[in-house]
Amino acid sequence: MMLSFFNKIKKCLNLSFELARISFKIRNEGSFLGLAWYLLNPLAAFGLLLFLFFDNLGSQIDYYPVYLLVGVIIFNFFQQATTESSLAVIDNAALIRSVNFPREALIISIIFKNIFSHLLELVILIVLVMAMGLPFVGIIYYLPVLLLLAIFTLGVCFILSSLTIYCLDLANIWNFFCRLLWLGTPIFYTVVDQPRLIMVNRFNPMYYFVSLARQILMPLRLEIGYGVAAIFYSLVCLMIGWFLFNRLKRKFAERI
Amino acid sequence: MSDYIKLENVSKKFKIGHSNGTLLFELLATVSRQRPREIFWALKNFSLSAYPGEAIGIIGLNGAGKTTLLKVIAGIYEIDGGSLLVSRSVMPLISLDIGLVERLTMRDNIYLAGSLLGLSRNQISQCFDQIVDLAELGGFIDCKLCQFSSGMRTRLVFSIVINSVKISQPEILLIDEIFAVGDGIFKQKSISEMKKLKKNNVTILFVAHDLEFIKDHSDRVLWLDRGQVRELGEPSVVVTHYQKFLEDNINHGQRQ
Repeated sequence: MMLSFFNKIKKCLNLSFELARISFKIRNEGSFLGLAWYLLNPLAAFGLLLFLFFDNLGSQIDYYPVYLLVGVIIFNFFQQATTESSLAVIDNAALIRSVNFPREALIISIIFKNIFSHLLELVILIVLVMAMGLPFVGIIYYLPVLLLLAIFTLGVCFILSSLTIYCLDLANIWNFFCRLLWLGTPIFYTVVDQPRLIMVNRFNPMYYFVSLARQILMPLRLEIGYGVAAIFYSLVCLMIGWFLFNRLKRKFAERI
Repeated sequence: MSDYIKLENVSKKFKIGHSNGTLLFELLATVSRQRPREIFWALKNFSLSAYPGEAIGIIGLNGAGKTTLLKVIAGIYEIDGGSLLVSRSVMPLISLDIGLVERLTMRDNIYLAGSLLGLSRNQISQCFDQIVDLAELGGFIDCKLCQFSSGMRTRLVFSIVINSVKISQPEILLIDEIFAVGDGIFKQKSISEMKKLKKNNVTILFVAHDLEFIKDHSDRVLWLDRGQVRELGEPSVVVTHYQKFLEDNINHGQRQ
């Protein structure tokens, strides 16, 4: 019984990996820059924000380029994966109606794909960290944060992808919501000494992931409370997402 | 020997007649009870047992529930009543939508579809040559799928599924009208592959409109009519009755 359960999970992960590989291939097919597009988007945002805020906000925050890049790439991971997953089930309607493969793989593959492109972005972060003279070891401690972020994002993706088939508007709402959340999360500014913003961000999971990553990479005090909050948010979110997806997936084939 | 498939009083319903307008209008209509939803019973109190190594041909008019029956057995649709016992593993060949991607080469597509059908990368590599051989597409391995004709696609899909069956050794194979396309040579090949599988105790359920084909290659024939068993038994008998039914209907010029 246990063995067949693990076998199932292994099969599902194998399939997810294969789907991620294929979707990379599709994206690169017939495009000149291919993989580079994964970097260009966050890099352009980073460059622009750095140009806009370096003199003003940047003077108040130490190591502002690192501070900014960490925020940009973490939020980019979340935004890319969730936006893509909101339509993942609907886009594969024909396949879902004719093959009984583990539906979770459609969503997990999106996370795999985004982890891979996030690793590419990390290379740039590493270069920047070293160029600013910050300790390199932070990168190793960054990986657990990435894992928590991936778990949290997976949960959100499960919730979004299964609810969108009942209400297509959700895909549009989510795009808008992501933009709001981007502004609400301290990505290019800081909430230090702004009690009102700190209050609001207490309920913003992305705040904890971004802050934790900064505390690890930059010479800041690591706050255990943030770690606990990040673990709490990611586990609760995955549990809700998993439950919802499993309840609704049996209806996918006839709803889409 | 126990049955591979056992359906007892299985029912499957679909809600129909709510397709126009946005979700908001639909919601208002449902709340105000303006439009009671119609229910269509695709299968109603349906019972069937199938033994190991048996081939059951399924016939019936369009909309009789043939494909729904296959999807219920494949686990793609959830049943609304009755009990369904299906042994370990099912391989469905319900439509050509097994995940093929137009912009990718045949090689990539074989790996993609194979993984969706539950094979690992190694297993696909093992049977890759056999898949290409059976599909008679030796010269097209690195061609993109968008250049394939529909006959080539059908052969490819059939070949991927048959070879996946050989490797993962499911107990049940479901085939839905796949023989409609493809020339005589391909048909002959598929028949001999099916016979081989039957010898290995694979139970095969297949839907076809070619009555001669059904008569020649099934052990029992199931005539489905409006979601219920109209007749089940000796192929020549059932097919003769069905032919008479068709003739009567054609003479009356309408569907019953």
